[in-house]
Amino acid sequence: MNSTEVIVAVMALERMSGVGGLLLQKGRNRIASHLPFSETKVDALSSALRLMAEGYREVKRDVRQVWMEFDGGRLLIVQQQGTLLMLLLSSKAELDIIAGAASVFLSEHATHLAMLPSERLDFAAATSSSIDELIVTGPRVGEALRAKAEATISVWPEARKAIERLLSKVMGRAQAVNLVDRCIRNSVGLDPYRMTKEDLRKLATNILDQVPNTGKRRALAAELEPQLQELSL
Amino acid sequence: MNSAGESQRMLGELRYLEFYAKQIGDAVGYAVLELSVLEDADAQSGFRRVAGSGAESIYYGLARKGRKRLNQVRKELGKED
Repeated sequence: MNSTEVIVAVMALERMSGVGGLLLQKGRNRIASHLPFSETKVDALSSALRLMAEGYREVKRDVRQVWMEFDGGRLLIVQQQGTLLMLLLSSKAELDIIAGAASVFLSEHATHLAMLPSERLDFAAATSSSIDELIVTGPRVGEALRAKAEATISVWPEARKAIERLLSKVMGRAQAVNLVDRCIRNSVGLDPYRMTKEDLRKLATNILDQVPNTGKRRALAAELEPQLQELSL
Repeated sequence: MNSAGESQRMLGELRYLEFYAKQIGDAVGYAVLELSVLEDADAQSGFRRVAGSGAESIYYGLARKGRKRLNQVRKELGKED
């Protein structure tokens, strides 16, 4: 995963129907900015978004997504591990598909984005290379992103109940709840409400793998599949 | 909403969100926040302005454990395009 792949994915997001612009930033470091506003307005917007992210972080709120519908425009703000992506959307945008795509984008590029500094870079120094790059993207990247967004599922509440029911056969209820919470916390970058079917299977298997007794673990693993099939997974 | 504590918590959520929305709106020239939805890891809250403006605004809101799709929340708040 490199910067070019991030830029290509950003451009694919921007080309999605109903997206009028976007801003990708980490702290004071503006990674990508394509907005139909003056530079002064973009600076003010970027600062306001950063202050909001910092404000919620200070009060220990792990805010993942904010949707704002103003009289003059609509903003979708998605954040993950200190990186914030804001999309300017029209009323024609397929809201949940775009929110899913934004979330998929941040998850897929989490490793690269985590390595970027959160302080503003000296743009002139950062682009002082004598080689001009032209990045050309086709519609395929956008289609792939959309397909992944559509594939994200939202059966987490039901799936969680099924997993906790299984765990309750070998441990106390509170212990089962804590185990599920701990596994989610340890799955960095994973949003349980935006998982693909494969992600959910992996998470469920990982949770059951924490059961220390081998025999019980195997028995639970055998029961997992019918439970997931009941959820049409 | 079934307790004073929950009402207070939701009011706090709204005021916090309003504060940042104003800064964001001011930055790009948007004056009135009509609807907002905030999600954290395992909860969701949404607000729709139903009357008034500025400090006099009256909002209809919801808060839940877990999260639903944004379009669903918009419908629940009485907003449909």
